[in-house]
Amino acid sequence: MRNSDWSKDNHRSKKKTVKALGRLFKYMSQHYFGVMIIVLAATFFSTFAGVRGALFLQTVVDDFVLPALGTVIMDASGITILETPGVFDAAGMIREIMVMALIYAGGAVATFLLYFLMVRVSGGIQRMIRDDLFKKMQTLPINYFDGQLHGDLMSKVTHDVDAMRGMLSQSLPEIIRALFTLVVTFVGMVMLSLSLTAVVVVAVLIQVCMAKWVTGKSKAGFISSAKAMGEMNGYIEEMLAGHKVVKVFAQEEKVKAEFDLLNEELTDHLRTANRFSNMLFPLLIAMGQALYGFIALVGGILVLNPNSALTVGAVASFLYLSRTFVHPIGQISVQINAIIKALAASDRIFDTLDEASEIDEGTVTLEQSKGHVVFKDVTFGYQDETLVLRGISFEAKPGQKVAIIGKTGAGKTTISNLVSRFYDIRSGQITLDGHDIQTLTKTSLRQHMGMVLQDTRLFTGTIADNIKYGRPDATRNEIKLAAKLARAHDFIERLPKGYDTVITDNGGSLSVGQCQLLGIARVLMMEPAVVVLDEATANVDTLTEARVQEGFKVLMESRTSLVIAHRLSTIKDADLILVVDKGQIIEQGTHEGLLATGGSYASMYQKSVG
Amino acid sequence: MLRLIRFEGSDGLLKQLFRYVGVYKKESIRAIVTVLFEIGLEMSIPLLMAMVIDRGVATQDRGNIFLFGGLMILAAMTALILGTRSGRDSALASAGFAKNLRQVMFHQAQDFSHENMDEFSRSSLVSRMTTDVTNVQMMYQVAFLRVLVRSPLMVLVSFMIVLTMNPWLAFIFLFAVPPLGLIMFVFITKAHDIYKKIFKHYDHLNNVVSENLSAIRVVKANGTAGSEVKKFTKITEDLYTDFVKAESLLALNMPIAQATIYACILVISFLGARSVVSGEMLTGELMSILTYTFQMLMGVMLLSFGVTLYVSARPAIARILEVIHADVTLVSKENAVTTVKDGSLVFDQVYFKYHQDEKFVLEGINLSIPHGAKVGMIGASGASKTTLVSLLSRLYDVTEGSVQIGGVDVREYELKALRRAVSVVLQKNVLFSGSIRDNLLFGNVHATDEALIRVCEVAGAMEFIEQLPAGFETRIDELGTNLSGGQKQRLCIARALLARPKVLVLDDSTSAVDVKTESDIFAGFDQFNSDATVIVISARVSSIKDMDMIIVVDDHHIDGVGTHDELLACSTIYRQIYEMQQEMEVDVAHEE
Repeated sequence: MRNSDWSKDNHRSKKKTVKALGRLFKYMSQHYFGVMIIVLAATFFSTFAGVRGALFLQTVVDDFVLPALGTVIMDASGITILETPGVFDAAGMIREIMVMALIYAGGAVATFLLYFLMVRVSGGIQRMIRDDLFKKMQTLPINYFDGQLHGDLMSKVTHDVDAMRGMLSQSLPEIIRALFTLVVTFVGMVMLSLSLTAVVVVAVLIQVCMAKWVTGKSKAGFISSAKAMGEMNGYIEEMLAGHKVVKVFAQEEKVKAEFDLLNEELTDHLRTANRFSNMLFPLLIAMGQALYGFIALVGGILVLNPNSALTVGAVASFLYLSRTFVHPIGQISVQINAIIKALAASDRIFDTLDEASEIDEGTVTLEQSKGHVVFKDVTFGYQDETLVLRGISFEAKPGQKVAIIGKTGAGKTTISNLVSRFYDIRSGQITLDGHDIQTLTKTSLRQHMGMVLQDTRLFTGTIADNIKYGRPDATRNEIKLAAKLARAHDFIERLPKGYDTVITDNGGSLSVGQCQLLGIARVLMMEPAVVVLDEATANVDTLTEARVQEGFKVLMESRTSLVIAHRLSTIKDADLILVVDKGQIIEQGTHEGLLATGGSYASMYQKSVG
Repeated sequence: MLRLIRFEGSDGLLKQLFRYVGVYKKESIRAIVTVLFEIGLEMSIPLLMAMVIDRGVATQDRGNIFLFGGLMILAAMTALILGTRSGRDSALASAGFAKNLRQVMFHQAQDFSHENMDEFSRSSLVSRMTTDVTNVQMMYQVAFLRVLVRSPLMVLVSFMIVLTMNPWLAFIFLFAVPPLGLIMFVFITKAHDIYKKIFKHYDHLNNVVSENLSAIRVVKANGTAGSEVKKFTKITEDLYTDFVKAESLLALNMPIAQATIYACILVISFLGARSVVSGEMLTGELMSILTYTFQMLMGVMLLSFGVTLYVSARPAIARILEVIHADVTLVSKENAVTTVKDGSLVFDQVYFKYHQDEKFVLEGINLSIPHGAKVGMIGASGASKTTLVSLLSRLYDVTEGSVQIGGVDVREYELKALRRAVSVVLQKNVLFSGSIRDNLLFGNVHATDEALIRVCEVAGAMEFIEQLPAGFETRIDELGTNLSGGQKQRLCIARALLARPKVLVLDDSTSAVDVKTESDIFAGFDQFNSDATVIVISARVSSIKDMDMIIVVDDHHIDGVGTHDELLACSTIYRQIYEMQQEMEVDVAHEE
């Protein structure tokens, strides 16, 4: 259902991947610099121990085994001319073994240290990035959320961060290890035999080319499968949220079919990605085996060549080293694959972290507010679209009640959203107590604003937690007082656990009206100077509605209020009525004043009074 | 030890899981068989190497060096072809397997009743279908199709070969390999327990993120970003602590395995050297034994890696199977009735409660509504009006008594047929992302453009759709956040009308619509689909006072049934509501 400019994305992806890697390193060096130094040192020692062990083989064969076998010199016809008996230097060998055992023990300890520390580094960075992501989310402007599938965002916080951690805890240490092994092994091989080293280098170059080809093939697949995964996530999330609607229309089959399409698409991407990445490992192993054979062959011939200084022991060590040399190449390729996958995920994370935060250029903190709100010639439009509001000007003096009326979609809700700066205006000015609201810090501005919207969002937690949401330090008595004022106390008391009843799933077990009463109590706790109310008490029965109305009245007392009004009594009582149509205020005044002018309000009123 | 037995014994899980490999069994088997051949070829290579040394180098026979060396390269190349093929097959198989799992789970979730949905939370279902399936896919591909096939074989074959070369040296492995395996196993099972906790943390994490996404305005309005972040960081802290615990255990595996390999190499070097000196063994054989030692212990490590993968995926497997095996509590009967004759409704001594150990929320409901009647329903919130109408389309089943439509018990109908015939416009309604057209067609996929326009006119939605630049093609954001409440309600009504139901239920679905539009909509119903039975639940007496019949619901039972005038005379509750609303002058002066 969603399009994207894929080609453009691809174009930038390489540059971005490198950038993402750089940023990860920044996280690491900032927080774990010392630890990473120890990790590097441990890695080095751990690989050194392995290579030193391979060289030990040569000592065993050339210094202990072969001398012990003795030498037999034959003439051309195969008759023995001279036979020296062998001597097995057991004590010498045990000495060598002890030295080797010490090195090995050090190697094992280093390996432990390396893993032990890396677990902490990767876990720590995972946690930091996840926290940063969530903190970022909190600072993003509302319109960012308007255009995003929630499931997609969720998959960033969970999936993508996990993929990244996998890279840090596994891929990265493996790669460091592999690089060290390569260098140390190479030195060891050169020491043993230059010509055999040349053979290995050629073989390795071939391997690297093959690995590159394969990873290139799978990379695109991984990037597109991360995207497809996000899309599918979004779909699942949405359809489960709308589960009842699907049931009611018996559209399960249609939904299933749509899901199957997305699922098939994702599977295709995964297949391509994994098909190539899976080829890599066997490819490298087999190449390593072939190399092993080749070394045995070439080494054997060279040992027989009287001009060559190569010994059987050196060949043995070399064979062993070729294993440790090829293994890291495989590791690097496999891990590069994982890293690419993880970097695709990191890209998505950093993209979100790079989104422009809600701008808060405000510097003024308003401790107390009288609640004096003025709109001066305000225009507003969402992003690139046309203007939604034009030339909105009105004044709400402290304590006044302003009723906003008009058709659905006329812009009533938009006006109310602007006061709290959920969206920023294009031109004109909104002031609170004479301060342009753009000069106030958002925290300070919103602290003085209370909102009760049609659909009240509650959080998992107890009823008490939800009421004291904006003032976590409130006492139980304060909570009860607010609930009583909001007329929510009665129903709360009737719940099995009263104020300690746990709400889940946005108040799933409560009625809409009850949720709204909690919403009113929540705002009362904050004691804001200005309240914004939407009077449309959707889906509420008369008794609850009466309570909500009472709650609203309490809320509006001695406060400036902007009410999206639906009720004649509210409208009549208002100090100022704004009649909104097509994004403009077409009339404003008091009930009597407007009736006297005989405009559209008057005719509207006449019609309704009948 | 007890723990281990339990662990081994619980493998019914895998058997159940692998059923969903389905048609991808063929690829799976092919992948495994090719791995077997691949490993066989690989294992022959050190043996051939011994030949090169002992029959070639030692005897100065160049021919043998070329012969065995050539064979080594040939074996390696064949293994390469087999290995890449197996890699491809396992990719296909595991991606297909994951697809099947996601499909089965999602389809199952679609068939879930509300009761089922309440059981699993939504965020948990989402993470089961995504994160968990991905984990299982990885586990299947890496552990089952490769590592767990390869590594035991590597260990076994290496051991056998060393055994034939030098039984005494092979004996050493018996001291090294089983303890190593056991230690790894214990660590892994310990870590597994911690992983279970980690999954719980993930559910919390998902829930907090999801809640914050949908309530972002509340968070901003209250300036509580700080405490939300605190809530979140508490979870990430727990996650961190447990991750580190689990992974530290697993991190011990590597150095322990390394120490074991090293010890074996040193001991074998010494004993092997002595055997060669005493003539029991050849130099090349010693070299290949060391290679096999290396491979065997690599095999053990790989095995532990495979088992780790499996163990850490186990909770995911269990969570997936929980969804798949959940009993769908509401299903169609066999040989169910597929057509609903008409829209007459009967409630016969209906009792209902949501959970067994709770109180009844509907008690002794008796109602009879003739076909085509226009019925209003009113009563305090919490009086169970929504529950009452939910029984009509079998969103829940009655606890006692029966509900009949068209003279047939609703449980006798095929669910799909029943729900096609009964359209409910829900109180908490939802639109999906997609165009307005997509959303409307949800009511009836086969509807023509004329039908779309017609229902939108009836529902009073045409006026605002026409004003939108893209008309029916206008995109609706997820959950319809870019429409006003009244616009959403009108679209929902249009969507329900499109299904041309025999029974139409509007559960407080016009609350955000002004009175005039509402009465226009009701009048439109009559013309549009005059023979449908319509039930309107409303809080406003004005909305329903002209209906053929009004039902007053109070405190889980029916308080009265009759026309407006009758009820004013005989129902105190109805009269109260009416009088209260007269005073409040509900909803008169907006919109028009």
